[in-house]
Order: sequence, then C-alpha cells, then structure tokens
Amino acid sequence: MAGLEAASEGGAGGSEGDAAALPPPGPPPPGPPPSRLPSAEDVPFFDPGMDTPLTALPAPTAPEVSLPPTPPGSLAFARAGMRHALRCMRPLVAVLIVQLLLALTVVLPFHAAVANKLDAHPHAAALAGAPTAADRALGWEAGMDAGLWRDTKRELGTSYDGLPVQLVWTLLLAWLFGAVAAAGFLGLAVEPGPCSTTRFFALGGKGFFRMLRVGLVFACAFVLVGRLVYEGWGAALADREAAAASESTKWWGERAREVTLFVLFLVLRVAADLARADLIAGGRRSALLAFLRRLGTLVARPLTTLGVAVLLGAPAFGALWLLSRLATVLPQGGWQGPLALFLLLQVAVLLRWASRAALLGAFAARVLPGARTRV
Amino acid sequence: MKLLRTEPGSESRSFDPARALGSRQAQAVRDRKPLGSQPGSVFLLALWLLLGVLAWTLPGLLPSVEAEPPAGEGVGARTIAYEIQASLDPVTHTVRGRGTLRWRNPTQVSAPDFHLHLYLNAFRDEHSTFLRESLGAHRGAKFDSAHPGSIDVTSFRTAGGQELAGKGAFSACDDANPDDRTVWSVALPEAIAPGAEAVFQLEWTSLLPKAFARTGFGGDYHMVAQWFPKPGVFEQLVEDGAFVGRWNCHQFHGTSEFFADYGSYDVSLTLPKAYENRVGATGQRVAAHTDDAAGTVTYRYQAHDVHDFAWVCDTDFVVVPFKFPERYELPEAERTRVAALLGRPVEGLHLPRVEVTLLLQPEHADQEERHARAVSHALAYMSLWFGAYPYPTLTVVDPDHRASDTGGMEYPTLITAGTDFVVPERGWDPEFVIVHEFGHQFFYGLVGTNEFEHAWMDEGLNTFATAKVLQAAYPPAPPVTWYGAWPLYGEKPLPFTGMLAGLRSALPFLPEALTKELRIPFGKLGVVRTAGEALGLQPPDDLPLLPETPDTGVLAFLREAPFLTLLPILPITVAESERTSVARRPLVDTIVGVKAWEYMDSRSYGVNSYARTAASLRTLEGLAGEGTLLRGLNAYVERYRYGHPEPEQLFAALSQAAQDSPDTRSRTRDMGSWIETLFRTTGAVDYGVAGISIWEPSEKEGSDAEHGATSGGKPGAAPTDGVAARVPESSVLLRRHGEAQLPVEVLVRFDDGSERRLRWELDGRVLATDGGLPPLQPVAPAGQQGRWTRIRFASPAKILSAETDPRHLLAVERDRTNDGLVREPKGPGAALSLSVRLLGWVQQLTSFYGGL
Repeated sequence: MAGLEAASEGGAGGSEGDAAALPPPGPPPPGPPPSRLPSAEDVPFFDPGMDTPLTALPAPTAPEVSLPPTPPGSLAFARAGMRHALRCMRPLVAVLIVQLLLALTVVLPFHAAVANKLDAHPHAAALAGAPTAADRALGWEAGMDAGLWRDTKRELGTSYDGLPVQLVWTLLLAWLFGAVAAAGFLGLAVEPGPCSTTRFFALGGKGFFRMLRVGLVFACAFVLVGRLVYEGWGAALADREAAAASESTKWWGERAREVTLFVLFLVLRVAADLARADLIAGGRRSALLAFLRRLGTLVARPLTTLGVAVLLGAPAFGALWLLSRLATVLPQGGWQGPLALFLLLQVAVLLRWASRAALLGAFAARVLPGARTRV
Repeated sequence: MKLLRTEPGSESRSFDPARALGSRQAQAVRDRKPLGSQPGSVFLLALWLLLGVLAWTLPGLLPSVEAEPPAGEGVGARTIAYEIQASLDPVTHTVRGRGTLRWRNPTQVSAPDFHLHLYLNAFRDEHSTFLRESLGAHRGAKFDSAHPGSIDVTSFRTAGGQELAGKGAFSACDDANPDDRTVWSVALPEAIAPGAEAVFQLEWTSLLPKAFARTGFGGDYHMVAQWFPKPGVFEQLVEDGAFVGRWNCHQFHGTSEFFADYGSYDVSLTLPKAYENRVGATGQRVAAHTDDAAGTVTYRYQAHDVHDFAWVCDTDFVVVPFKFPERYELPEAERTRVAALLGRPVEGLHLPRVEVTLLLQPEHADQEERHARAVSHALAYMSLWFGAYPYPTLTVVDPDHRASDTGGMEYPTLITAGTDFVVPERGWDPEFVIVHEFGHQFFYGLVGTNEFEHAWMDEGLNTFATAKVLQAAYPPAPPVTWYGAWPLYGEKPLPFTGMLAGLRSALPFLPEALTKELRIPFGKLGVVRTAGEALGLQPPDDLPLLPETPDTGVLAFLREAPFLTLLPILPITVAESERTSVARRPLVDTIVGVKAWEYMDSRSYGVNSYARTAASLRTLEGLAGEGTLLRGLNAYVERYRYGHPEPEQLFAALSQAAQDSPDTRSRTRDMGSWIETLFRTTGAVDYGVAGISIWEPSEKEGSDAEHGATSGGKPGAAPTDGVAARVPESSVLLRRHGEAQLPVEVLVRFDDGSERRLRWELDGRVLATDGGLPPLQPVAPAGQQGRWTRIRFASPAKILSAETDPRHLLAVERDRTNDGLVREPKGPGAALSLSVRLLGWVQQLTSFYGGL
C-alpha cells in the first residue's frame, strides 16, 4: 500500500544528518557507528522542538506493512514527499480544476469585454500573433499592439477597472480552498486508504478549520514581520538612507529588506506547514502552539526543515521557468496557439500544487515518526 | 545737430548726416566753408534743404509698426550684458552675488521703470503664488519649509550712483497675491530711451532651498538656477494706433517656467576647493584661479546669445569630457534624406563641433556610454533638422539623488537629466530625458518663446522633436514591470500589488479610523527607544493599525511567476505613447491662448503643453508630409533664432511651407484650418467604422423582395441610384465620434483581394485617392464633414473589412479600437490569447494564496 516511509527523528545524537567527521583515534564514541542506519530502538529520541523529551519508543505493534528504515535528512523527506505527490495525481487534477474555476470568475468577464473590442478589428490576425501580408504592409507586427491595448483598457472603463477587486475576492476563496487542500493532502498522507478525490475532499473538510486557524496565525505573523521589516527597520533607516551620499545605499537597503522579508516569509510558511502537519497527523488542537513549536523546530533544525522546502519548491519553480521558455516557441494565432499555451499553463499550475502536496507529505513524514503514519 | 543713438529704421526726428550720407561725405560737410561763400552754394543749400525735408517726413510716411520681428536679429538679441561675481557657501547654501547689468532698450518707446524676476522668493514661505498653486509639491517632491529659498537684493544702483533698492515694490501682476515676491519693480529716475543702454550695479544674496522645483541643494550638490535678479522683457505693443511699452514680467507660478531677453554673461564663481574641477555652468570656461590661502577656486565663464545662466557643483561628480562628433557617426543615408526633404545640398548640412562634458554621479558612472550616445544622437539629429547647434559647449548633469527634483531641466548649454541606479537595458531611460532636455537648446534656447504665456511653444515642439530623435536612433521600448530591482519585459494582466492593498480597494467602507487614525505606539516604547539610540536609529513613534507594507519584488515574483504570465505586449514608440497619454485626459483647455497657470489643473497644463502639442504637430506631419513640417520648422527656427516669436509666427511658417511644398501631392492650403482645429479647439479627434452591410439581390425573377445581410448598421435598401438591380452592394458606415474635423483616410478591402483607398474630406465628400471612381454617398454631404456618412460600392465582391486612418496619420486619434471592422471575424482573436495569459496569471496567484 502506498504510504510514507517514516523517518526517525534525531539521527546521530541530534545532528543535522550531515556526514559525521572522522572520530579521532581512540575508543569509539558511544552511540551507533556512523555506517549503520539507526533504528528507533537504538537511539535515544529527543526533539528539542518539543516540550518534553521522550524515551525511545517501543517498536510499533503489528504494522500493516513493515517499515523499511529510512535515513534521516531533508533528501529522504523530500523523496517521501515526492512519492506522496505522485500518488495523489487524481486529487491534484481536482485541485487544478478548482483553480481553473476560480480563475475563470475573473477571466470570463475579461474575455467578454476584450473580445468585444478586439476580435472584429481589421488586424485581429496580427493582434493574435499571425499577421497577414496586408497587416504587414501597414506595419502591423505579430502580437498585441501597445497603443491599441492601452485604448482597449481605457475604453473598457469599469469592465476592466473592477477586475482587480473581483480578483481579491477570488483570492480569498482560493485561500479558503487552500485550507481544504492542505487538510486533504495531509489526511491522505496520514490516514490509510486509497488516494481518491472523494477521500481527499472528505479529509479536507474534516481538517478545514484546523488548517484555517493555522492560516490565520500565519497571516498575522507575516503582517507583523512585514511591519517590523518595513515600518520598523525601514522607517528607522529611512532618513539615513535618504541622506546618504550614494543612491546605492538606499537601493541596497531596500534589497536587504526585500530579501529579509522573503526569507522570513519562507520560514513562516514552512513553520505553518509543519504546524498543519502537527495538527492533522499529531492530533493536536492549538494552531498557535503548533506554529510556535514548529518555529522552534526550524531554529533547531533549519536544514532538515527549510532544506525540504527548498528541495521541493526550487525545482518546481525552475520547471516553471523552463515552461516559460517553451511558451516562446509555441505556435501563434489560430486555435493552436491559445490551446497550446493553455495546456502549458495548466502544467505549470499542476507542478506548483504537486510541489505543495509533496511538501505537506514530506512534513507529515517529518513530524510523525511513530504515530499514525501510513506506509 | 544733435545726434542720438538709434537703431536703423527707428523713428527719429533728428538728422544724422553720418548715417544718412556715409562717413566720408559727412566729413566733407564738416570741412565745408560757411554757406554762401562758394559758387553754387545756393543750389547746394537748396539741395540740403530738400534732403532735410525728406529726412524729416519720409520716416513718417513709411510703416512704423513692424508686423513681425526682423529675421535673425530678433528684438531680443543682445539686450543684456551681465557681469557677475558670485561665491557659494555650501554650508549655509548661500550665494552672494554682485554684478553689473547693462540693459539696452530694444523697443521704440521709453522704459520709465525696471522690472526684475526674483524667482527664488517663490520658496521663501508657503504664501508665495508658486507654493499656493502647487500645494507645496513639484513632480513628486515636497517643499521642505525647514530649508526655504530666497533672494534679497541688497543694492540696485543706477550708473549715477542712485540707490533704488529700497524704492521699489513687489508686484503681483497676475493674481494680486500680496505675499508673492517674485517680481520687483522700481521707477527709474530717468526713463531709458529707445535703443539706449542703462547700467545698473547690483548686490544680492541668494539662499538655495533644499532641492525643489529645479533648484537647490542635496548634500554637497548645488544646482544654482534662477539665482540672480533677472530683468523681465520690455515689449512694444500697439494700442489705439500708438506704441506702448510694457514689461512682460510674470510672477513665478506652480506650472510656469521662464522668459528673458538674450544677451551675454560673464560670470566668475568662487567655491571651496573641494569643488575643484567639479563645476558645470552655462557657456565656456575662460579662466580658472586657485587661492590656496583662502581654500577657494574661482572659475570664470562667458556665454553669448543666451537668456539665462545656471551652474552646478558637486564634490562627487565624475567628469567625462568628450568632443562631438568624434565618437559619433551619423548614417549618411539620413543626411541625404533630410537634405532632400529640406531641399538643400547635402554639403550644407554639417554636424557642429561641441565640447561635451558629462557630470555623472559615481553610482551611475557605468551609464556613461548611454549618456554619451543619447546626447550625441540629439546633437546630430536636431542640428540636421533645425540648424547646427551654435554654442561651443554642452554640459549634461546627473543630479545627486538627494536633489532629484533638479533633474529634467534645461538651461542654455547646460541640461540636467537624471537616472536610476538600475535601469532596464531596453527602453529610453535615461535617454528620453537627455534627448528632451537637449532639445530645449533649440526650443526655448535658440527660439526664446515666452514660457509663461506659450508654454507649449517650447515644450510641445521639443516633445515632438524628442520623439523624432528617439524614433530615428532607438527601437521602440517594451513595457517594463519591476519586481524589486529586477525589470522584466511585459505587462501585468491586471494591476495587483498584494492582498493588503487589494483589500483596501475591495473594502472601501473601511473607516478611516482603522486605516489612518488608530496608531500603535512603537518608538515611544522604552525598549524600542533604547535600542534605537544604541544603534543610532530613529524608529517612528507610532504605526498605523493597518500597515502600508509595500509589495516586495521578490515575493511578487514568487507569487506571480511573471516570466510565464506577463502579457507580451509589443514595444511602443514615443509617438504612440504620447497619443495614448493625451487620450487618457479630457480635453478641457485649448493648446493656444492659455497661460501656464490658467489651465484647469497641472495635468491639463502638462498634457496640452507637451504630448497634445507634439501629437498635433505629428498629425500635421501626417497630413502634409514630413518634408513640409520639417521645412516649416526649419524656417521658423532660422528666422526667429534669438528672438521671441508668437504662435502666429510659427503657424505662418508652417502654412507657408505647406503652400510652397515642392511635392504637389502634399501642397495644401488647408494647413490653417487643421491648425485651428488642433491648436485652438478642445475637440477630440476620433473616427471609426460603425458598420458594414451587404445587400444581395434576390435570385427570384421579377421579385421586388430584396434581402440584405448586415454586420452592424442598417440593412441596405434596394438600390435606387441607377445601378443595375442585380449587382450586389456593400456599404460602410463611417462615423466621426469626436468634435474635431480633419480629413481622414479610409481603406476598404474586398473578398476578391482588391482594396479601395479613399479620403473623407472636410466638405463631407469621400473621394478616391487610388485613382478609381469615388464611392457613392447615398446621403449627399452638406458642405461639411458630418457626424457620419455612408459609402456604397456596387460590385460582385463583398467588403471584407473597412478601416479609418489605416496609416495612423492622425497622431491625435483618441481611440483606435473603433477604427475598423471586419464583416465576419474568423477564428479566435487576440482576446483569447490575452485571456489565456490572464488565466495563467490568476491561477498562479490562487496557487500562491492557496498555499498560505
């Protein structure tokens, strides 16, 4: 049966899983030799991120499937996460459809308004990317003419100007749906059973409010962090940067704050996902406590936690970049061009959500060494 | 006989034999023996008497009111000679100046008083006209009342030593604001006669503001502009058939610039030695002197035929001199093309030799090549089109970032540009501002129009010329979306800057108390204050409840995956960019006849003076041909060089060029009416195709029932104009949506591949320009271009599409989305491609927020 491979916590003496340095000559150090993969019986279990230290747990009784030993480290968690994502293709497709439906609430009114303006234009073929000889003779190139596009937006008036407001509400719905999806992916990782769409939504609904609470905690934490970075740090330095002899001082200051906020965002995001895993897989109730606890985990084990996020997120983002290169060679005009672009963009969304599913799966494995972990 | 110094042609009642007869004959007259002592003396006496009578009466018979200033030597030429010695104290940001001002009355009437511009007093306090009108803001910069500016004239003495400084008064001739001190006038003890020269000795102290409205300081950088007492322009007007003299000396307004007479300047500047070789000024440096004991350096500059003097210094300047055109090569094809358009030999068009100096900020030193190339292109093309740049030097200043509001400004032979630490590789930043400010050397610099009363004459013409240079020298600029410090080429499908900003606009009912009034104590907290002091920082005392956290570039990048989702909008030309900027604004003011401060608001001033004038000139170029406009502007610049032309003189030059065009196709007498429409009305130009209809005769023999199919518009009626009943007919409904009337081209394409090129004229007729028969107009035009007209073609071929202004000759066209129609759109158009991109963008956003 599909499931995650449990990874034991701690590794060799609580180390980060890096290869241990060669011990100096002398009696061998206590603990398991570095070449042997540790098991739960061998190593005292201690997670500094948790409130109380635990003694070594007894081996689980009568597991459904024996747990092959998994080496610790972010790579292992990442692999576990990817396997989970691959198993969740049907739910991922369902998520993709929901994303599509949400996006269409903004796109359909846009298309109706813009088509009314542009599709009967005498040079519509050029605007769509396939100019005719007659178009070229009058200087029309392949693609959306900038002046005409500005006229279109202006002439559409509120039909265009109201779309960003519509977008905000759509994104709020997306955020709520994200809570369902997170609960669903975590539930599938934790609960035994098939990875079906029905189970996905059922588990998602079951864990929705816990995920929502984590989301709210994250939002408050992020807003607070943003204020500290910009209205604290930034405002305190504003006068000094503005008065500096070189413009580059202010420029670098702004970049430093941007990067800091981005790093803090990643930290908070990873902590939130770990907290989500705690709530679903660990059966905990308090979102705030789980979040704070997982912040501690991050501080104690940054590589294992952030490393997983980077291993799963960066390639996905890199794949998006590759898709963007592919988009430049797609056919233009007619039906083929938009269709090919549409499919490519759906692959991009699928990749993004697959990496999310993988991350949640990896964190479920990370969080739950001996509890209700599915294999 | 009393001799008076007068100008040739001026009215004079005293006879000057030297001038009338030539100097040798005058000498003979003086050597001659007393009258009556020589043979024939009676005859000679009679001859002299006759000549005297003629000299007395003839000038009175000739027209004494000049309709327009003489060419070349404009009335403003060499009115002023200013010798100034000034010193800068960079600690107090004060300039102490003293000078000798020689002012020659250029008119035929006496000047009983004298008016001076004291521009820096606009920044003395918030009661000035400038600050009242601008609400303390200028191009995004805010006035800092802790660092005001001012100019105090401590001495204004006549040549006879009479002190007038305390005898004058501030004049608020425009708005009667008693607190405005930007114009000072004083009655003179003796009026200055026509053509006579008056000499004044002045002393003053100028306090520079913290960089605001083009002048001021930022750190060590000092842009010293409008810093000395500047005479107004004494003009000769005709009232009730007689000459009157009036000072054209307006107050400094929030949207006005400057106006002064031409002359020569000889200025010595003394600064601390820290500024050695880091100074730029109008004119040419002729001497330099270092005083080690005093720790100062003095530079002397001279400039001739200019109407202003500005200077700049900064201890940080990176000085990059080069000689134009040594680093530059103009394509010979362009020189040949322009020569042909101007009707001149190629050899007559040469590039001037100019010593160019770039004064860059150290952090922008890597943009040296872009600056040099931009100013070289501007020098080359503007000299080709409007005559060689006549001055030997040019200085291009990159302002300190702490004084960015001094950027984007022009002074004779010195321009300030401005750039950013990071600029996109593609695009016109900083090229646009460099080319534009250089262009002012011609429009405003060489042709000294009144920027108070006719702001468009320099800004608009220069904006037109700027676009031509950029189009000739650079490719169109792609849209840029910034993600932090990283520019990406493309446009966001929708304006969105994060959920916080989005929620503010989505929830407009949020009480202001939440967004602005409720504050959270921060810097007031003991621990924060202590930490701030320890780190040498100044945290804010409190924070608003809802934050203003900006949308950070890196997060936005992660959120939107812009490399995949930005709309690939094509690059835009400057001309098209200006057209759309005009279209965005309601046309509530005319271009001509509105003083700079009399527009509805600063945006109306901006659009009318800059983009709308440029687009209107471009429209004239489209209608009359590039050659006509170039010849007209070339003639205008040549004729009114060093003068102060009025709008009518510009329009006359353009009209004349249109009438005299060597190309018969572009020769026209309609230029006047086009100018009237574009420059003197508020009507928008907007033409389009409202419908295409097809009438096909029924197959049934003898039937009167006719069928029609339409694409917009009304179904075609049965033909009644003599065309054979069996021939299908296609008709196009043309619409004039805007108030303005201009001739507009129409292109009609048929399904057999043929096309018709037509023109809808001002008299309402639609004529053929392709040599074919004109189309039928079922409703005969009533002598003028109505709001609509229908044109009909009897032909087996059916209309595929119809389009107005296919070549985009009407550069002021307001809306191009209604320019044309296709009868039967085939396949998905641009809307689908755009929508798919938008879909991808929104999905990335929903994925991002779904993961939070």
